[in-house]
Amino acid sequence: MKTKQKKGKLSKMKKREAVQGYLFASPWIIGFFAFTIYPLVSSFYYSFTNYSMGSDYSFIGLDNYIIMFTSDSGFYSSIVNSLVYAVAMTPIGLLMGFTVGLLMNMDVKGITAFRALYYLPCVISAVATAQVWGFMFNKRYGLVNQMLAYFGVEGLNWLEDPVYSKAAMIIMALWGCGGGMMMYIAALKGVPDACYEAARIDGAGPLRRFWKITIPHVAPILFYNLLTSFIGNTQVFASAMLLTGQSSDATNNYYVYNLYTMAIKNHRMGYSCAMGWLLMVVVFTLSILMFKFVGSKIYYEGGKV
Amino acid sequence: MLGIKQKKKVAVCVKYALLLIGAMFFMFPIFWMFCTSLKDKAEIIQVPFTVLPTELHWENYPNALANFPLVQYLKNTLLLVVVNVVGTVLSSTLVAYAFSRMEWPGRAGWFWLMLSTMMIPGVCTMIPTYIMFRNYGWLDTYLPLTIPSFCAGAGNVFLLRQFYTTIPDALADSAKMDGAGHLRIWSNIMMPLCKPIIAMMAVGTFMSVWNDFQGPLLYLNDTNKYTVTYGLRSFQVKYFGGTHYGELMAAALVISIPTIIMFLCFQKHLIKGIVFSGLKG
Repeated sequence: MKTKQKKGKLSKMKKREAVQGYLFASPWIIGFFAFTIYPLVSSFYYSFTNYSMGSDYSFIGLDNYIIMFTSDSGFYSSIVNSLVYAVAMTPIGLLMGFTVGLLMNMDVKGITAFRALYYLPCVISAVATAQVWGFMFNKRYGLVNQMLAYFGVEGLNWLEDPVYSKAAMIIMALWGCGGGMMMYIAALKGVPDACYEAARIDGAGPLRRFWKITIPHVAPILFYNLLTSFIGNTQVFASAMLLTGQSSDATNNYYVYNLYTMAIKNHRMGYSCAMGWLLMVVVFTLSILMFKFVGSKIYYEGGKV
Repeated sequence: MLGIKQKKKVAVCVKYALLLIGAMFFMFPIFWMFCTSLKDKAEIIQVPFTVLPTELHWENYPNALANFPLVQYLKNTLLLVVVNVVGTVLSSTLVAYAFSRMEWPGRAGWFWLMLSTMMIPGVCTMIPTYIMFRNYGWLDTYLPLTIPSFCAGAGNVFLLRQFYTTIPDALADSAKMDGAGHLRIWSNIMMPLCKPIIAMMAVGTFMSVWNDFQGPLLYLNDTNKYTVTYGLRSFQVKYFGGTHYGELMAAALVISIPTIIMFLCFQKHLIKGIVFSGLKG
């Protein structure tokens, strides 16, 4: 009798706790349904319709997806543009970011001040960033072209040429490469000192120690960054809009930019939703593959720092 | 041959040289922004260029602001900042509390779900979310830019949860003995203990609202409702093709100052927080 009562009381408490738990978590749970699940499901539905602003719409089956792959040349060029940008930007960005990480991990006086300086560009808005870089890349008065003129290179069209505009976007993006520094510093600090000591005793020079000890230890985090930044770089949007937005559609036709213009300017919401879903399937597949191959290793490394 | 001491000195010099070269790259655009903001039109388009302005044209600043309703935009931005900070802090701390200090069925599953939402690219929900808010009639209001902040972002919850799990159980247990419920423990024990991280979240929210481009781009049409940063964008568009670079750089610099100051004041905490959120993936 006594134990039964106790049990009843316990489960009552448990029930209370369960209800409270859901109440406390409800902001996120509500947000999850309202701002993640509902948009995803509705866009999946819209992707099979010719939904546009205001007007009536009808179900058109797979037409959006078929048009995308068969008769929309802008779609292909947007994939190519985004891929070219991502393929070029990702390794350069990784190299620069890691170099900054190595520099910031150096043990010299005043390093925290340098860290702040290197990080500073990341807190400046994309709008202001694009304005100053846009001015420096200006074809006629820009600093970059005026400097290049000394070397006999003249009149590069940084903001409108299909190739140079990508270079301009990459340089602007590299300006913010200090953003990953703390991650690299944490990873570099996580390399056990004993390894370096042992190598030093065995007579390994600094370069050898770097390649044989530092690099293998931080390789998982480098690989993780390589993949996540590749995924991020294929979705380049704001800088395309802000820096090179005045150029022709062909130059500036990045995937997400295309998706945005389709919906907001051309009012082809259904088509845009189909593009969004395609992107999501690709990104999700890549992410899952990534976690399968490196996920557990990264977590271990992350746990150590 | 150099002695060990001299070798060390050389190494230190090389290190500083490398650091300074990097610092020049990261600081130069800001320096250039400032120099340009003090030049007059003729000097800006002059070939070859001058680095430092030959004459200081401070009037670019008042001229820029004359074309730019700074006070109105500042009011708008601060309103958004305050609401977003309140929303983010309240919702994230509550949700993180639920995920770390309470036992409820399905907790692990929901948490896993929350982490996996971080893999969904934001652009995939951009257009359907826009359609949804349009159907609600929320376009050109601040609702799309504020309401979502009350729904706790996964990154912040994860960060806070890490902190909550490090707080010893004994504290909460003794409060429970005294008859305190979860709401009391959350508000009277957890909140004060997490003050530094909450402050950091507030600064982070301030920066993201202040610097936001995509939100106002999608949801705001009425120029009176613009934020400072988005206002700067329309200012640029208005002057594009002209040579008002002096004014433009002045305006860009002025609106960047608050985030720069915020960052310099809180940089130690902010950079640290980014490590956590960076590793959350």
